[in-house]
Amino acid sequence: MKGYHEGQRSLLAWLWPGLAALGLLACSGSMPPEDSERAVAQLADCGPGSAPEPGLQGRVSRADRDSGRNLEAYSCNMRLVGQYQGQGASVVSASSGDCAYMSSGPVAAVLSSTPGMQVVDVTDPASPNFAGNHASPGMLLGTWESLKVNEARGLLGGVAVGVLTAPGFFDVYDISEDCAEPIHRNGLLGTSLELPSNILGHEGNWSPDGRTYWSTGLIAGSITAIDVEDPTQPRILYTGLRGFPSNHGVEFSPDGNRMYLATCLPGGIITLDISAIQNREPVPSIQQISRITWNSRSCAQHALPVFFDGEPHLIAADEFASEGVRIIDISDETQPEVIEHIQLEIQLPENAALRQEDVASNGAFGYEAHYCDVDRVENPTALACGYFNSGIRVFDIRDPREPVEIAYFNPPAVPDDAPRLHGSLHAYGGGILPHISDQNASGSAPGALGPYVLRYVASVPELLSLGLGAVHGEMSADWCSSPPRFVDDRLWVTCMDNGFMVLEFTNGVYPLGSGGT
Amino acid sequence: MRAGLLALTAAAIGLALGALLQSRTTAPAAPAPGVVDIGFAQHMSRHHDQAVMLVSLFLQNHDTPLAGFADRILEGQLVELGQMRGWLALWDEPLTPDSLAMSWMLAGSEPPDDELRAYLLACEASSSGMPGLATSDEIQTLTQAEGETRDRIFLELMQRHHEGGLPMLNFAAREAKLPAVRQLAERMLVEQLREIARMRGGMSAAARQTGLETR
Repeated sequence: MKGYHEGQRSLLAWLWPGLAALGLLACSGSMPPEDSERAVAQLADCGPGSAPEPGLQGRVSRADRDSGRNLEAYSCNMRLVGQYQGQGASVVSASSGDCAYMSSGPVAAVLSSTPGMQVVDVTDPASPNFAGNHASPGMLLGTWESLKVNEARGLLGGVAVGVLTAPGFFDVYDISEDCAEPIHRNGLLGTSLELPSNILGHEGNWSPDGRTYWSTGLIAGSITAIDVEDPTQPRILYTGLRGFPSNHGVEFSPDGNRMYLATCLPGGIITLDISAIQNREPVPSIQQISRITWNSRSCAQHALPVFFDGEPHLIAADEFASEGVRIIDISDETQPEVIEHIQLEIQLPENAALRQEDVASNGAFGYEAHYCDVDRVENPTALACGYFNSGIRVFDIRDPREPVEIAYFNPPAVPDDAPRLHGSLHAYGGGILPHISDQNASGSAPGALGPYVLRYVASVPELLSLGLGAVHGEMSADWCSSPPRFVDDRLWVTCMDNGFMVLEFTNGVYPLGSGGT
Repeated sequence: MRAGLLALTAAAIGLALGALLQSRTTAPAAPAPGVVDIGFAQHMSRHHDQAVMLVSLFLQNHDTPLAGFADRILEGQLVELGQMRGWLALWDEPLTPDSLAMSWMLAGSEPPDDELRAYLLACEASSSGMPGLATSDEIQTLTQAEGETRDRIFLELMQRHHEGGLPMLNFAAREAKLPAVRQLAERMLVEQLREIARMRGGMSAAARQTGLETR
């Protein structure tokens, strides 16, 4: 795109009040970024069977939320094939083979009859079934954004996160023999107790070869490398890099020698040389190769490595400030360059007031991207991303400089289900927090947060008078924060309130040919 | 541990508020750092990272009379880490060095003396780029040990770790461009020498019970 402007680099002026344990609150200080000429992926041509969004791309309007239209899905060239809602899901869930793994959290540990990770058997995609729960320490406390599968070794891992970040545990399961029957590999002496305890967890991911699990802690930074050569005896190889910017999601080059580290405050990506750890050098350390930032108040989520015509790129989602998704050329890894910025119409700066109006009572997150995946790493044709409030969106990225939206599915709001959605972070906790993800782009002047928090506190008595609304919030649009997965020309997705879903493309929009658009 | 984290957070908030204040006034720009200032902050941060890891792993599930002493090390290292990383952020420099080479220690006002030359040769010969750091295998040995054995291994590793950092501290205390950097290096030098002395004393069980535990 033209006119991309890198965000200001002024130091953060943010605080972490205990009130908003879910996220980050703007305080004051640096001004909003001077982003200009932001590109919007073209609107899809919605064929028969679609139930399109009536207004702005990605939007569930205040009118729809009030009228009850939001209780039906919005769809474009995509339909629901099968669903297992169960108790809902936490921030990031995973899947492998014919199985899905729905994360949960501390609320489910107390209230649910099936606490911990929920296993879903998807042998029949039209009728996914509950196949058991696993309540090892990490799974019980909640794995937040760390529950990830390594296909190379058939391992499923996650760190205990609890509420946002916590010192806790690392769980590793073997799913190579039967994905529906994960085997907990690092329990001690037949118990669920385990080592090592992670320093501070929030996010996590496997190195491509599955020999190392990396965990990052959002608060106070920290990156931890856990050696999982022997899954029964994981050991910490390295921990370091505490402090700001906050370390977030991690992805890796195919050889495992580079880490693409998403950062918050500022939002951006740091490329790190981690070959010393990948190669198990005796005293490992990591070195920074490059850094790119775009918004001092945003929070990059993760940066997926892909290749276009052999040239390495990253696809980076940001979960704050309606920043959306960026495609970054890293063919020169020392000079990363943003080549495309994908924003939905509702995410554009001029629609900030509409966003506030829509999502003010739906919890901490507005219209934000979270996790993305592609149909293939080499010359990907399609990009699918999960969004808070905007559902699952699929883009044709055969030409990465001209992405085109081809399909979407925004599942229905399910406010009446909220009391039993013990695994949903939206239904329990996130939904009653003030809308904090979009303060930077909301049009509010810097420093406006103080009155905002005071207004929120003052409204608590009114919230309490709403009965269940005070517990769950408005629940007026789902939060689809897990990474979608392409499976046989379908998408497997997990949203917090609707749970696990199998989605199918319609009207011939996918698969796409391998040529350019 | 918690106090250390609070201190680190407080330092970060202080820096952020400081930057905010600066952005709203017309205060003159802070003096630019030199090669030594940047190199010291990056390499000493890396050195501190391992001290934090050693203490954290040592204390995990381990009831030890050294807990108070280890906590004090942790607090000190975390506060200093926050200060150095805050500087690097203000200077818009990477938090990590781009290589293991200690070339910043060649940028002094005088040619390296024999002691510094010996240290730089030891750095070159070390796979980690600086002597004194514990290897992954040694850290594994620490985490698997129990009781007094674990205490002894911790003292050995931490003493070696601290001693390995002394030449960097000496050099930065003398050669850093910015007074604040020189002052921090001097303060670290005093602290680490004191901790080394305590660890040497603590190598015997009797000394550990009468000395380090009550610090």
